Amino acid sequence: MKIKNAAIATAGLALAGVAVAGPALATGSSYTVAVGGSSAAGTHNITATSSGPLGFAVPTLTMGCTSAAVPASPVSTVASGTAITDIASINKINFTGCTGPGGALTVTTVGSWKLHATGAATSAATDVIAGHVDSITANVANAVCKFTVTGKANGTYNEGTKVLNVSETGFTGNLKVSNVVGCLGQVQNGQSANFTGSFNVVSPDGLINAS
Amino acid sequence: MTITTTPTRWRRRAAAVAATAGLALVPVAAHAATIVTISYDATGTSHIAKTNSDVALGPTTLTTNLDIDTGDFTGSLPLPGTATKFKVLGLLPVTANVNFVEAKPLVGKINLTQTQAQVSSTATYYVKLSNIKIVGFPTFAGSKCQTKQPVSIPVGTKPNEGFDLINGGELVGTYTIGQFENCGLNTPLINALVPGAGNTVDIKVSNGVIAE
Repeated sequence: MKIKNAAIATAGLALAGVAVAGPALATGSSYTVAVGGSSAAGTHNITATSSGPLGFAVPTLTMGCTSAAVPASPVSTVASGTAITDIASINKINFTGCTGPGGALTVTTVGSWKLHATGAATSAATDVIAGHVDSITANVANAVCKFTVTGKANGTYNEGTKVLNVSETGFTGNLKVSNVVGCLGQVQNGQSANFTGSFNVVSPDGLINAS
Repeated sequence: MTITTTPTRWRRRAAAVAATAGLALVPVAAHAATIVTISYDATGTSHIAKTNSDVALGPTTLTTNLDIDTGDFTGSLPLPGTATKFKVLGLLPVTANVNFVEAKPLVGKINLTQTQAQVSSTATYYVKLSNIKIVGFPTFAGSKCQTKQPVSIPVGTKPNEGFDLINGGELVGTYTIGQFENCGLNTPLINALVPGAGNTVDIKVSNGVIAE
């Protein structure tokens, strides 16, 4: 397998603040992305559904949702073309069956979450590419507790199985809690957060292949 | 959802002291407790150890005013009058009406653990007896036959069982009934039969509604 991208070099450029094609705050590398075998510049709609429950936590509380889905509307997309940094833009995730200590929670995503890759990728359609979901903002709330989680979550995308596996664990600080209201004193501003879950990505235009 | 803000006493005192001391230029933190009122359906039973009898509790409404910053709450659990029956020496049937008269507001705390919300709470009542009948015959107990001191009834979630802020949960506890007074000639009999430790309470709380 030939590794076409210069991940390390591009990451270095991004860190130096001289990334040209990507957005100012992009934290991923740039890739050539083909959808359905075509790397012509464009966007392709995607949806996704979780496979199994999702978990999120702060050091003091463990929470979770039974399922989640990236709906058809608003449209979420994968970008095809060369020098792609924002590989996917996820514009909404509907979380359902979310609970924490004390009962039900609502989780509402805000803005456009970006899928960035940082790992090696080849022209083969079976790569498991490391990266992260960036620009995460989610509001968590119930009657006695509200807070916002922002940041990024580490994960991988398996081109062959089309599974996006989000695995932000260990309270690394990639995700942070803010805007805490209430929560009976058990959620604090500045706490780190975890987020785990797997999504089966559906791409009607065909297989997503980054290289 | 109604969120009522209630400045705590110490903060009011702090503000007053600051103003008196001419510290008006120094801003005083104005953070106030945020109270959410949640009402639940509540029903349960209490087992009186000494008489080996049960007393129905409710159905009624449990109202809590929860400080969502700390988990502390106050509230009320008014219990409708009920009746009990038991046998003296295992032989003579005794019936009585029982009223729980709230002596002070219910207090408690909801503590969030890693995976559960756990409740601890204490309700305080005078236990009042009336219409006491022994072998079906009325006996005079007066209208003020009640415990000398309020009876504190601590309840909480069972170990390893959580409480759902909306769906509720089960609260259990054990309490002691003290001596009665003002029961006329029945006072010695009642105090021989009823007061004691090891009484249990089991209350099921459900259908939480947040005040709008």
